Amino acid sequence: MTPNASVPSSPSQTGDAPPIVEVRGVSKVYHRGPVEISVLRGLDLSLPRGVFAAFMGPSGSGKTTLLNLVGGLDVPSAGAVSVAGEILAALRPRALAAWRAAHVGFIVQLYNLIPVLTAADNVELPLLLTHLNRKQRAEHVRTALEVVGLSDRAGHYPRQLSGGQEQRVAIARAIVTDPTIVVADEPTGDLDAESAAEVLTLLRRLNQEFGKTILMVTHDPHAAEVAGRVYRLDKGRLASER
Amino acid sequence: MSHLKLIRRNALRKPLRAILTFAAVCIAMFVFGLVFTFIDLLTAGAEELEKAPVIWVRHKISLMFPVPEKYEEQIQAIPGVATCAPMMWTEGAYKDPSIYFPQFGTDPNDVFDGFAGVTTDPGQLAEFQRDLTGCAAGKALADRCGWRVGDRIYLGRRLWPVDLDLTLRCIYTSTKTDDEGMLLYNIKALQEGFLKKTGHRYDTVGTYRVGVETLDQVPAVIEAIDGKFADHDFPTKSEPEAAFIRSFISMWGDVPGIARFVGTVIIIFLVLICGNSLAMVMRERVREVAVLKTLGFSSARILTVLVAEALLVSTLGGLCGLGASVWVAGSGLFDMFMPGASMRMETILLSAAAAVGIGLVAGVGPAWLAVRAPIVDGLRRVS
Repeated sequence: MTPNASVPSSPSQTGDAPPIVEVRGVSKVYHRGPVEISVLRGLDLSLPRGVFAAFMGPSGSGKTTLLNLVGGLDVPSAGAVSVAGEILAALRPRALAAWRAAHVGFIVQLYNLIPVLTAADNVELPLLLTHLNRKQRAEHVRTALEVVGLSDRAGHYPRQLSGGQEQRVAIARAIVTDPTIVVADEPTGDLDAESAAEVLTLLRRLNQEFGKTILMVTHDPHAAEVAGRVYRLDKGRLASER
Repeated sequence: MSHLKLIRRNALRKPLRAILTFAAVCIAMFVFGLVFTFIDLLTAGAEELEKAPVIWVRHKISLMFPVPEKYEEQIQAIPGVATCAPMMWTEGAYKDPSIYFPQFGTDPNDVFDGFAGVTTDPGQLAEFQRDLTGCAAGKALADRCGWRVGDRIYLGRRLWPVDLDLTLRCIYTSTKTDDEGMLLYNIKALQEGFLKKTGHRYDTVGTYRVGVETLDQVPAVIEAIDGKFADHDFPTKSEPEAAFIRSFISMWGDVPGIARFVGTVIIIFLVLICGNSLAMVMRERVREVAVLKTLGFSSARILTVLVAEALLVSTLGGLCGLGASVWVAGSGLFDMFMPGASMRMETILLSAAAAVGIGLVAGVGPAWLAVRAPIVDGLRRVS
């Protein structure tokens, strides 16, 4: 079974909603010793609330860099990124960390769970930064694990879970704080087809049923089909949009 | 879950490494505690001794050479001298060779006068002074050997060709633990035994312990004593009690200095071991640190968690080692080397602070390196 066979595309996308992500004239240059590597070149992008956007393109095209900038993990060399009206470059590191905790749910490739914590503890991690008490945190964790269908694996450690289950725990962790946007970098990159389909189904459900804004980087065209919008990047610029 | 659970789980994620680090800190702090207890014993009561109007008189060249018995009367005749008691190192063999304690032949009538920190029962002291074969023991020594007043104590010949059959008449207490580890007896018992055994009278003593009337008279009395015997066959060197104890200890070299050096080396050694271990831990967890940052954990919070992990292992290891050294120091296991030893509160606090300091110093550097790595670089790391 392939992901696209089991997961239908998103039926509707909110093209007329106000933008939640605004990228204006963004460039990003990395310095590797004396060498300058220009990854993004004056990129403009506007994404409405509730969108499920996939970013595709060859390696080095700037997909992950764009995601990092939108998620507040990195700062642009030029231009501005604003998310939900907040210009990220204006935030100091501590404020940016607090902003990430409140507004962004991250899903990266596998191996991003803390191995010494159970699934429930991993999901609870972002809640330690909130003012919720123990009981409230437990309730949130239970709900998030229910959403990803892993209530019965709450006490399991990452090593006791399959790759797909680990990634679903990561998704639960990403949504447990009810973030403004969810960014996913190759969420199915290390998964077999069946697990990838489960993860994509879940992301699509989060978008459609819970209205989550999702930005996903993927190399897999089948995965991209699940998204409502697909942006193709090439050499640091938007090459096409569907 | 709480931050504490996160810290605990992370600290124990590699059990073998955690146990080895814990053991290293534990053993090192055990040795550190004993070393500093040893230093305390050597230097204990120094301030009290400085204030004591007491002089020790010995041969000018070395403690190895005796001074004549007849000096006693001449010293007592010097203005400012209150008492003068011979102190003769004996080294008799006790029935249990594993129990070692210093023994001195002395004059029971004078020995306790001006003896800083020592308290005696008047009745028991009178018995000690009356009985030629009587002896007095410090409370720590009496407790260690299970002696009670009236017990017979037999010291076999070793340095001297004399067997001493003594009766315990007095148990004294002292604010200085090593003073409580001594046995004192009437020097006449030794001299009479020597005469009976060899047919010769032994008319020299090792040292004199001289009580001075007031502290400010000490320099003048020292000058008077040494001046009096300067041209004799047995010239003397007189020192205040504190200086005498220091020079006695320095016969083995700068023991407190060496012990402090050993203690410092232990700490440096531990910081390097723990630092290396923690650096390995942090290198392995750069990606995890990056994940925590993506979740919104601030650098300061992550740094606190990582350093707390180091502190947990070092503090637990240190406290266990410290507990063991407190127990050993007080149990009498090392009485042969450290009679009457027990760990002072200052030493306990110093050792505990050292254990915490090790965790802090060893943990902060590697943790800081892990935390300051850019998130995007950390996420690219493969575990």
